[in-house]
Amino acid sequence: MAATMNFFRAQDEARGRTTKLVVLLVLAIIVLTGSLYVLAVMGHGKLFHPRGGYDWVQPKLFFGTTGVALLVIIGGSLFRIAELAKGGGAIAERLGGRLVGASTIDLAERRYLNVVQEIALAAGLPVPLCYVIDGDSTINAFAAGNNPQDAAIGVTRGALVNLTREELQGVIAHEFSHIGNGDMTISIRIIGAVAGLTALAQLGYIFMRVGAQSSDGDKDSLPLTAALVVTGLAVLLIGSGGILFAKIIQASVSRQREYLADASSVQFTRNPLGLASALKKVGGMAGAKRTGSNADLESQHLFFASSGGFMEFFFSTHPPIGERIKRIDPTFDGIIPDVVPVQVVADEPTAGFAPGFRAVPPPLPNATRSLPTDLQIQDSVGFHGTIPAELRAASDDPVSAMGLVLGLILRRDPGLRAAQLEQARGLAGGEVSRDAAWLEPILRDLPAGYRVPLLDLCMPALRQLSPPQVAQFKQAIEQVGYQAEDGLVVLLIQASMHRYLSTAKNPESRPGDLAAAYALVLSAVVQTSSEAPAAQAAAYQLGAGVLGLPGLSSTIISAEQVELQKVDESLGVIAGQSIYDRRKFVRACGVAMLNDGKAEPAEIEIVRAVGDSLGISFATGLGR
Amino acid sequence: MLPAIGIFLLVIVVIAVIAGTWGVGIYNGLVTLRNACKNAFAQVDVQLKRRYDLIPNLVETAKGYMAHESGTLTAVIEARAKATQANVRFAGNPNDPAAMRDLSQAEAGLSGALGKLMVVSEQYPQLKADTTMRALMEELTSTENRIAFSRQAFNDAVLFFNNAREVFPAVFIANSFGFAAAEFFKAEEADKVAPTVKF
Repeated sequence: MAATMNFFRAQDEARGRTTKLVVLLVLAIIVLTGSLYVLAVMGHGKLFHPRGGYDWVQPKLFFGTTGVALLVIIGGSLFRIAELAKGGGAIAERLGGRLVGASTIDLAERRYLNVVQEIALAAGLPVPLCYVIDGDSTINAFAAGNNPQDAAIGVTRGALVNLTREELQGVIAHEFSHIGNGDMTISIRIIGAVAGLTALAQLGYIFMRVGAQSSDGDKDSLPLTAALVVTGLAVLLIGSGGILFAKIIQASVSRQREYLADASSVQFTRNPLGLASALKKVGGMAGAKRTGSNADLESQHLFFASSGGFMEFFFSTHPPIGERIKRIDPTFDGIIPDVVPVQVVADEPTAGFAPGFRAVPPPLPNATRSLPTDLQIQDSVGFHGTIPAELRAASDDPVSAMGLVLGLILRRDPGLRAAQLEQARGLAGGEVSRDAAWLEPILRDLPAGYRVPLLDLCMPALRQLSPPQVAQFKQAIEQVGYQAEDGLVVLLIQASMHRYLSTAKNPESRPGDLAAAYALVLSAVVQTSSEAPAAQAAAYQLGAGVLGLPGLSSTIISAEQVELQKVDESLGVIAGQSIYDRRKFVRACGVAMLNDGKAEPAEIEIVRAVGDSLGISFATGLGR
Repeated sequence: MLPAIGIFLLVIVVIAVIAGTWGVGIYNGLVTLRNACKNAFAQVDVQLKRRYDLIPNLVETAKGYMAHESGTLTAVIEARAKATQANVRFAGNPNDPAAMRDLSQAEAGLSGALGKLMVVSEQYPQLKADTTMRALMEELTSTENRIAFSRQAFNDAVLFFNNAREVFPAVFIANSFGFAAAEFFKAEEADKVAPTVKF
């Protein structure tokens, strides 16, 4: 179907877009500073040589105007980027969003939270913070943040009341693909660029206001105020050119991304109809005026649909709705129905994504064909099962979520289990141990492959712990983890907590032999699969080929020599590498995992543990 | 054209931009920390409400066994009413330290009244044996623990916010933009001794 065609170019485009942004920005700056210089020369000439022509070569004047213009543009840009560096939550609040807690009793909000969780699991991404823009009755949504762990998703009240569950799924999955495709970093850069380019116009406006206000003073200052007003007007005009540039940059960089996000949305939900129907409703409400949200010029491109307005055709940050619908639903007849609010009844989380939907995941390549793409790797680590209701409920509450995580490392033997529970007795007055004991039988019966999504579900609740509480919990996990049956799950928990609960930007690292560390971890990844030793060796070679590091052993390290403790240490060594090398390594692990065309639960777990320890999400665009 | 005055202006602009960016950073940091307090309180609030919801059932069950202790039961009901009122008031002005102090006190009063009920109920073996009562008691103890835990998280958030707003130079920004110090959710003495009931 049409939607599949764009999947694989996704992340390679991301780098290209940054280049495009920079080129456009430089172009804009050259034009703006050039016109400012022309203006300055003309002003200078009029002021000092009223009769003579203009002297076009004035280095001092050139550096002066260029310096000021650059300062304003770069200053304005950095100013806004610094403001947004606080993460997705800060951006969501700036846009007028309100954080929706797990305790919400609003049915529509409950349904929204459930949908976000489902898609997060399907996409193999951490559950983001969820916001609602209450005052906005149009249908819209946004995703924001610097990376998947501090991401935030927001929807308007209009989207909550007007969309059915399936439609909401489509919209949320669209936003998730912005998180997944690494679109958020570029979004913030766009906001910065737009802020810088509009700063000049603002400066001109300020000049004009100052000039106009002081004009009713004494007569002596009249030439000065006149000069101020004229300069201000000129700067404002040139600045308006900057705004025009800004809009073009926004439109050209983000339009294509919307088609891709629509396509990925279908990939995550396996259902093109929900998104198509949501888009029709957006089209049906196109006339509605947006109110209550702070979506301004700078942040237009963050949203699900553009908010209309003048010159929509040229400068829209989004492609036309009809075109978007056609791409995911070729049978679209162009008829857009009226929008009526839907009745939201008590929402139960769905049992994963039901089979029978039309879209199928893109096929994995055979060994003879090319290596799997990043999106294929990401799609294969996504979860499509059903989490039992009790566990889901437990993951909403910080104390129960700690109990759930603890429950994952409890021993089967009752005596040893009791000793483990005793060690965690100090957490929340014993509530954590109690919950762990209660949840343990449910956890024990879960099929393989549920531990990663469970941890993903718990992380938002655990983020509500205060730093001292996190430290306490980490210590408890470490103590109890000594007696765990399965060391991998402890590694997984620690990696995941380190990734999502730590405030440090980069993972902790230690010195060591990089080639040896690569070889050891890659061997460990390959050996978790149930394949025959020969196939494992081939998978290792495939992964090592991706790395292409001189000195890296091309033969797999034998299973007896691979211990979890050593894997942990080696991960520390790899963690010290640049983000590009870490991404490359995680990609190599993914390629090795998919050597046989399928990802087994144990393989997914260890690859996720590797990714989390190295601070790399599958979804951030491994290839970038 | 660009002699001393131009360079001077340029320097001023540079300093203004740097100071402005820095100031915005501090301001945003304070907003984030204040929101963290608000979110942490939402967690406490969930547990407080859970306790409010448990109490009517608890009192109703206890009534059947301890008819002679109507004073103790009434005290619990009254303390609950006071606490719910204080909770509503605080929800109305989350930045008002006085509202938080009222809530702390009302909650402490409720914990005290509940503690007294526990002590008294020790003298009624039949009540202690009642299965509904046992389940309710267990639920209550669990809720008390969770209240204590989420209150700790809230107080940590308040501490971080207050520290951040008191240090130099953030204190200037905090004062000029009205970031008042947040109030801790104190556990009063009565609260600390309350839920130690053994069945």
